[in-house]
Amino acid sequence: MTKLNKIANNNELTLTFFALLLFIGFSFASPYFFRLGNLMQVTAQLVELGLMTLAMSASIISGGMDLSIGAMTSLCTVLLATFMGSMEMPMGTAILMTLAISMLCGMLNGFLCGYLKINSMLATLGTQALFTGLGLVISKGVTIQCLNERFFFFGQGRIGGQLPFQTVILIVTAVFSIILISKSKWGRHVYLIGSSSKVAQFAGINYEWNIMLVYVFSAIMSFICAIVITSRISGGRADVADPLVLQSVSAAVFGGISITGGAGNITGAIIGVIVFTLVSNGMNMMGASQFLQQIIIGSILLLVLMLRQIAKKRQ
Amino acid sequence: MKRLKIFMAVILVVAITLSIAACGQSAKPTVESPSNETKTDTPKEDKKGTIAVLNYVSSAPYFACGESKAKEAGAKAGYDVIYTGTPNVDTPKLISLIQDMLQKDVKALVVASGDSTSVAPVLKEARAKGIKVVSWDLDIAKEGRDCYAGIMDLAELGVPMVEEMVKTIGDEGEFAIVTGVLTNEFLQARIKRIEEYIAEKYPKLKCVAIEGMDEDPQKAFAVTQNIISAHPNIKAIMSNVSTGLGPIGKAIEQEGKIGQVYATGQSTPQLAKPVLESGAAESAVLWDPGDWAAFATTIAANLVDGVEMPEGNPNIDGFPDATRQGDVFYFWKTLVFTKDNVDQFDF
Repeated sequence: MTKLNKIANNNELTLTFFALLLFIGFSFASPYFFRLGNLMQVTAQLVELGLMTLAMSASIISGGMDLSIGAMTSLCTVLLATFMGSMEMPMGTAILMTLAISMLCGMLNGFLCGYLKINSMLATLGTQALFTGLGLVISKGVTIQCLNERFFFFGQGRIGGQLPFQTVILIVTAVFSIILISKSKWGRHVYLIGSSSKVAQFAGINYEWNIMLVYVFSAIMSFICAIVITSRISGGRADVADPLVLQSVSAAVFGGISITGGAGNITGAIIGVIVFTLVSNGMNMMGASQFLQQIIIGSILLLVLMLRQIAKKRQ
Repeated sequence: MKRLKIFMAVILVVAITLSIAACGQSAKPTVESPSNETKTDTPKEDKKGTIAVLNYVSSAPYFACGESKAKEAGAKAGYDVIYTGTPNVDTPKLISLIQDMLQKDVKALVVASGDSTSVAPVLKEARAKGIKVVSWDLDIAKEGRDCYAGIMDLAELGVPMVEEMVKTIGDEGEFAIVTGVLTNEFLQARIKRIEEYIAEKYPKLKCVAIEGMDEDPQKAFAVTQNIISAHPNIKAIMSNVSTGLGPIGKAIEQEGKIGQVYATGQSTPQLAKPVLESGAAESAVLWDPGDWAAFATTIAANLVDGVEMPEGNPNIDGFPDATRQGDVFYFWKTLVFTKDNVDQFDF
């Protein structure tokens, strides 16, 4: 009983157990779910939302919210496709140039939220429109085809014919992010800023610079996500990643990251992504309608939030 | 102990999830299939397999109304049909959905995508596994599909829309176009054809604005109000998507411009009905999306069965006027709705 209590006290363990139950349940509920091919598919389907959730989680932990990550990712897909498509740039140059531009986008967000102290939701709502507009102007509103076949490996390649390469990208990026945000000095500063920016500043933490780094981190995650998407769809479009923004907020919050900042961790957020992806894939395998999936994902999110709130009050 | 209760509650959530999903399966025929077919996860023994018919905005009535006819066409050819799509425009999710269908061992995919290239890689992968792929709505890059099932030449679809507008407002004056998502190639190609056709045949007509409504009726309403304010001499606002004409007409009513400004273009008949009756619109143009879905499904079944579909008249069951030119099939049927005939259509 004590052991069970211990597990129940640990958010990540509870969520892992939840994911495991879903996994077992879907394995019994559908003959198509527990197949190597499908399980590998699930790991691939995690990646884009996973990377966006990493981008979103950092900004939420710092007490803000970066609503521009979808537009930034979409802009990066357009840039990558344009550089490697009509401009026929070598792959390395195209990737580096897009990385540089995405970091500039992140710095703009960081400047607005950190140095000018504009509310992050308002600032990134503005930059979201700006980045989408830029993407639309560059792409003229159509999907730009990326013609570099070597580049397709990032989103379509499989190691040993099974393991999607994009899954490896997510694992490496997630481990790096967990270490950076949970263990590094900068990560601790971000948590403190998220808890109370005033206390952080009294503690001698450079608020402006650390917030700048948060938004640059989000931009880099968006850029990595853009690499996967551009490769997966062999092109770029100015609105392709927009639907992932709110899903990433849901996954982060479901994973235990406090919407008011300063609490929760990246591991929980990634498990949140796993749960969402399992529900989506498992229900497709069971033949349930897409509308029903939305109801269930919404209900799970609400129930978990309610249970957490009740637990918090009782404490 | 309290935590333990919460832990147990989480387990309950999982149980609820699976139960609801299971209920969803059995409840689906009544909710989504007017044909009352029994939908099962695995193909029925007397069926030859499953065909998945996918679209990119399943919440739009335009796509939702195609389900029953697609299922009927599939059943006629001996196949179960999974009719599904992403609730909203979400390309990464549509790709995941296609991948999920591949894992379900479907025999053929009938796919409508918001752009012609994004889904091509995953469909190419499907074709490599021997699955037949038919594109409908917007055509998909050739490497991603076996053939395209359409109504007629995509570019020509704008012509009846212009002709109906001319019947309403005459052959001169200002008009605007309200389109769906600005990045949708299907819609852009049609706008281009409309502009070309007008320049050639009705040079005194002038398109003064092209605005996006993002498949959002509220936005179409607001955009129309803005157009009316910005262009006081405007005579018609043409909807380039099936969900636009209704809210455009409502905005015309709200602005008190009935008789001065008309809503024209595309609409499903039921969405057009109130504005046809109020006089904010005189006609609406569309085809039957159900016929289109059925046409594409029948072709997919023929491909799987290896039925010969000759050039010229390909002998598609239920579509006597269909034509085939290479890997492109058309069924040549558009509809014009007016207040006199709108009640004859139920979608």
